[in-house]
Amino acid sequence: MTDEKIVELYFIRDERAIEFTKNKYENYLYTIAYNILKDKSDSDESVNDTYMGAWNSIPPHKPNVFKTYLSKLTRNISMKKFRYNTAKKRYNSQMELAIDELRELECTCESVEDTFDEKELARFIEKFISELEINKRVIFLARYWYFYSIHDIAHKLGYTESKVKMTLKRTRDTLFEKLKKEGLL
Amino acid sequence: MTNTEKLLNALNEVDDSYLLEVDKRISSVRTARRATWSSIAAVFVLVIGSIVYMISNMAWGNAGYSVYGESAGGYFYYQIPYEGIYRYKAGGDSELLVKVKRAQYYEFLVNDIGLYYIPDEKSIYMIPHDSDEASLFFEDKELNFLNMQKHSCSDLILQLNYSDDKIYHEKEIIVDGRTGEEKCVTYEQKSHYKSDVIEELEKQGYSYEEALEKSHTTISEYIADEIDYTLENRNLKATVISDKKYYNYGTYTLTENGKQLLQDDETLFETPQRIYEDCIIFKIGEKYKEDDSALFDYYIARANGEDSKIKSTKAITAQGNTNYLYYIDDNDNLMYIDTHTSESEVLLHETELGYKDLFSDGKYVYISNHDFTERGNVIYTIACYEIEFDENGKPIDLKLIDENIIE
Repeated sequence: MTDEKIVELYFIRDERAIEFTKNKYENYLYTIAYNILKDKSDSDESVNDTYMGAWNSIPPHKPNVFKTYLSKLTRNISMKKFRYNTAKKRYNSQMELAIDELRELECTCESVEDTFDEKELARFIEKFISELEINKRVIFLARYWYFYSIHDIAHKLGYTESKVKMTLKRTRDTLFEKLKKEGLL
Repeated sequence: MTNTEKLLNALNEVDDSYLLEVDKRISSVRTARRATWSSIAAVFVLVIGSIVYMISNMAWGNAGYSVYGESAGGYFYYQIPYEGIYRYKAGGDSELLVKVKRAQYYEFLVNDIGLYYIPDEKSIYMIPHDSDEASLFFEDKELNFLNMQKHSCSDLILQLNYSDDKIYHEKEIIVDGRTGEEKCVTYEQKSHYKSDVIEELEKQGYSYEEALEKSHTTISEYIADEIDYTLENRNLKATVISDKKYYNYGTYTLTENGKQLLQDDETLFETPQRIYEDCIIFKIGEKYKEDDSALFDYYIARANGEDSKIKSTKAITAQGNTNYLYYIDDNDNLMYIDTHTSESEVLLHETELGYKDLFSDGKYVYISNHDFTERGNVIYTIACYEIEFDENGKPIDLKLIDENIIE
C-alpha cells in the first residue's frame, strides 16, 4: 500500500492505518529505536508509541514524507526514553557513543547550561547539513541522526571504517569551527 | 539538557530529503554486502538485528530483510535469528552448526580455517570447516565487549573493549587464526576517564583542567607503525603515514622489500578488503581525498607478482576470486569486474535484487531474500547458483543449484 493511502486511512480514522504502517515500517522504525536504546523491550515500546503518535497527530498534520515523519517520531520518542533510562543506568547504545564523540561541545563551553539557543541552532544545523558534500552528509546523518555504529555505516555504505571515522572527525571539526565562528559555541 | 543533546535534537528538524538521501544510499549499497567484515558483537545485533530482526514465529509479527552469510572453505555459512548458524555445501543440505542461546544472533566470521563465533562478550569459539566440534579459541574475562574481523586467510583482528561506566579502554590486536596467539597490537586507546565524568572528577577535588586532562579528549593513542602480510613467498609491509596525534586510525603505505607499491598520492585504507590464497586485495584511495573517486580503488597483490589496480564506480561488496569480483550495479544487475582490466560486465540482467544480499566465493553465488506469509510474517530464502565460465575462465551465466537452502 502506498504511503498516501495509509495517510488517507489516518485521516478517515480507520484503525487499519496502524496495521499497514506496522507492516510497512516496523523494522525500519525498530532499527532507529534500537540504535538509540539497545533494548528490545524499550525499542518495541518506542515503535508502538510511534504508531500512537502518528494516530494522534494525523490529522491535523499531513506529512509530506510519511516515512521520515514516522522516523522522526521514533527518534524523538526513543531519545526521550533514553534520557529517562540513563538517569537510572548506563547503556552501550550508539546514542551514548555519539554523545561521547560530540563531547567537544561541552568541554569548550564556559557554561554548559543554555549555551545553545535551540531555534537558532536548528537553523544553523539545517544550513550546515545543506552545505555538506553529499557523502559527508550521508555519513554524518547516518551517525548522528540514525545513530548507526561506525561499523554499521561502513557496512551499509560500502566504505572502510577508517573512511567513516575520518569523515566524521573532519565533519565534526568543521561543525565545531563553524559553531565557534557563529558565536554559538 | 546538554549542548550535545540540543544538537542531536536540532538534527531532528533536518529536511526530509536528506534522510531519504541516507536511505537511498544505504539501499543502493545494501544490495551487495561487504563480505570481509564480520560484524561486531554489539554492533552485530544492530546491523544484522536491524536487517534480519524479525522472524516469522514471533507473536508480534514483523517485516524483515535478508539473512547474513559468508563463504569460505567450500561452504556457505549463514545465520537465522533465534535459531543459529548453519553450514551449507552447494548441492547438499544445510546443517545447524551452532545453536543460538539466550540471544538473537552470535557474531560470526569464516576464513580458510573455519568458523569463529562469539557466544558472549568475552570469548570466541572456533569450528574447523570439516568438523562439528567447537573449541575455545580466545577468552578474556575482563572484557566489556569483543569484536572480530578477518585479517588474512588465517589471522584475525580482535577489537577488545575493557570500558566500564567511567573508564574507556580499547585496543585491537592481530591473533593467529589457528592458535589465538597474539601477534601484534595495531591500535590502542589506553585507559582514561570518559568525558562525562569530568564533573565527578571536579567533585573529587580536581580542577576543570585536570579533569579534562584525564578525560577522553586528551588521551594519547597507539597505532602500529607496521603491519606485515605474507603471500606465499612475498612479504608485504604496511607502514603508517597518518598523523597519529590527530587521527584515531592508521592509513598506510604498502611496500615490498623497501619498494613502494603504491603511487605517492595513494594510501592503503586499514586492513585488506579480502584475502585469498593467491592474492590479497587492498582497498586504496587518494590520500585524504574523500569524494567517490577515492573510495572504490583496489590494489591486487598476486603471489605470482602480477599485481594490478582496479577502479570501480561501485563498492565491490561480494567476494569473488583472483580474476573476477562481483557486485550489484545501480540498475540491480549482477555485475562482475575483471581484476586485471577493471572492465565490468553484466552477468545477470534485471534481477530485481533491490533489497537482496549477495555472497560469492568465486564459484557459487548466494542470493538471500525474504518474502511474507499471508499473515505478514517473514520467510527467509537463500538461493544458490553456480557460476558458469567459458573456456577462458570468464563468467558467462548462473546455473541454479538450490532455490532455497533454508529448510
